[in-house]
Amino acid sequence: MSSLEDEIRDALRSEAGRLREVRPLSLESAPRPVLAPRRRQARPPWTWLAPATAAALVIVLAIALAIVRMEQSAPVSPVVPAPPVPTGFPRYYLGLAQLRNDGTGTRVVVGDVATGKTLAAYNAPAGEAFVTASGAGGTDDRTFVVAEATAQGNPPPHASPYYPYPRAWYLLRVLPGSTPRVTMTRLAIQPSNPELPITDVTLSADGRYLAVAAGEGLTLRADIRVYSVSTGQLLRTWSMVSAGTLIARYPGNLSWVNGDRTVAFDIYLGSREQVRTVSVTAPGAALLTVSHVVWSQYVPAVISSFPKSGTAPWCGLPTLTPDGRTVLCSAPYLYAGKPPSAAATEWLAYSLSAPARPRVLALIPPPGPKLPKGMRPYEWGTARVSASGVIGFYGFYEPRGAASGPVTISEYIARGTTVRQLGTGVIPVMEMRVIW
Amino acid sequence: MDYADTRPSDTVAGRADAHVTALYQAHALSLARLALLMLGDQAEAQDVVQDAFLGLYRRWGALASTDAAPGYLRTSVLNGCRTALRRRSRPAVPPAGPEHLESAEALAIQTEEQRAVLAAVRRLPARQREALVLRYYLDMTEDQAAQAMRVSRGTVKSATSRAVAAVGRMLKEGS
Repeated sequence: MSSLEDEIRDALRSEAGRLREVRPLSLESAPRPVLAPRRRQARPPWTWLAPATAAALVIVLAIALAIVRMEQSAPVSPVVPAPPVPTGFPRYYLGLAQLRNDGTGTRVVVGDVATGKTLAAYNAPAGEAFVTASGAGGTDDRTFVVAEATAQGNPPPHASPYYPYPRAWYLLRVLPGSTPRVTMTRLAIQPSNPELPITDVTLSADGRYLAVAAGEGLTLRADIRVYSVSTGQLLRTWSMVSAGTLIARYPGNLSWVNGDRTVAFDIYLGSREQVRTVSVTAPGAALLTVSHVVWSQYVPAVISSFPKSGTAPWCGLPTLTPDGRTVLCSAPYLYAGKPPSAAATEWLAYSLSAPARPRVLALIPPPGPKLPKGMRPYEWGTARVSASGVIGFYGFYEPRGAASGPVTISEYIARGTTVRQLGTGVIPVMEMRVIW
Repeated sequence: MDYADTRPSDTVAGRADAHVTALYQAHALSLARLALLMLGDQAEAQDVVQDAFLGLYRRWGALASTDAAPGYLRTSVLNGCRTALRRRSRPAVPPAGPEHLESAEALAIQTEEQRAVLAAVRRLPARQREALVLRYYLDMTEDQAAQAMRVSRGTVKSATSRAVAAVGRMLKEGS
């Protein structure tokens, strides 16, 4: 396969991916289906009795059902069109919520950004948890993958159980206009053994491949794998074993670059955080040998105070854009408005051609001027950054103590200085991740 | 834990509207993307796909089996695209103008090189473009593409080869 053919393939897929939805199909005004003409053949007259009787029964049943329906049906409420989604916002999101303080009980929520409504929610059964998820990203805002894991060991009282090893993977698809609106189907990806704890997953923009990062502190091992979503087949594995270098964080924050050809990830080696890329088609299986550093930053051991303006000493969740030219990330800063708050975040872009000075894409303010009564200041948690926006959540902690008391979690999606609330619920939740 | 596949139930078998609606949910977007690559126009691509589904709905009773529906739809969409291209008096290159400017999001997603390749693909004759789309977007084999285009395998091979060469030439001329 020549590189020109690869370029054509990538360009066609990229162009096709721009089309995100189709107009609804209306069959009401279409001519009714025509039955195919059947061959005539002589039949004895009594053979018509059975179908004629069946037809009569169907007609009687249809009339009876119609009468019952007319009597029972309530007035049809008018269809209220959904408010438009601002340009650049994904229409749908997926949330992972932890329902109890002890870390047990997780729920996957699929929601509609335009209406703020929950389209579907799935609770994990006892002893299991949804641990990580990814959206397809790019132009596809209605395809997600989520992993489910079984609790390991016997944690002490009040400690969170440990869910390191996904045993099942599920594909969630939003189907606007259908009932149900969300489907959840199990993928054929099998858990490998021995397994490393998963640190991040990401679905390629065309939904065909799943990249999985994993790492484990005791053995100092880490790897990145690529699976086929349709067959579950393990296609590539790159591994590393730390040789004396302190690995503060194992590979994570995955993204796909150049379509489905390159995987980008970040890793902390010593006091530096690096963004690296590894080509899916390149030979070799040693992660740090075959991957290339494209961006790095110094990570201070302690951040003593939030900067007052967009001069963050460190930027979180660095993500390489699909064209491989820019690293996007977000950093907290002290919001000087009313009320002052550390819950604001700045959204930065580091061009790889001039990485010394980031471009501030936007300063995202706290979601509103007033704090809920009796609540402590907001805290912003960034879930994901992309070329089109930042998605994350604000928490309003009650003064009785965030560690044990109820916490109000509000999910927000932000693009530029526009912050849009997705929904709010008082739930004893310790973690909520929002993904698109 | 096993989640049931929540696709529409098969208890409504025989009802064309339910089947066609389910098929529309499953295939309309991918078919519209195929038509978009053929026509270069989103609205026209959606029209072609709608026509294909309405045609399937009208002829539901004549369909040999529901398994044949996706193949029937793809053939209908390709036929619809060929008809739409024949009707055009000008090439399928979007005219320059503010109404055709790409959105910021689209620009962020497509690289400069990809846009140049797409512009070249849009300038290809319809048959060469169709061969490229079937071979490189749908990943069809030469035999499958020949069946879909209703031509010989050799024709697919030569059309694809000429198309790739023409795209390469246009990229060189543009650089």
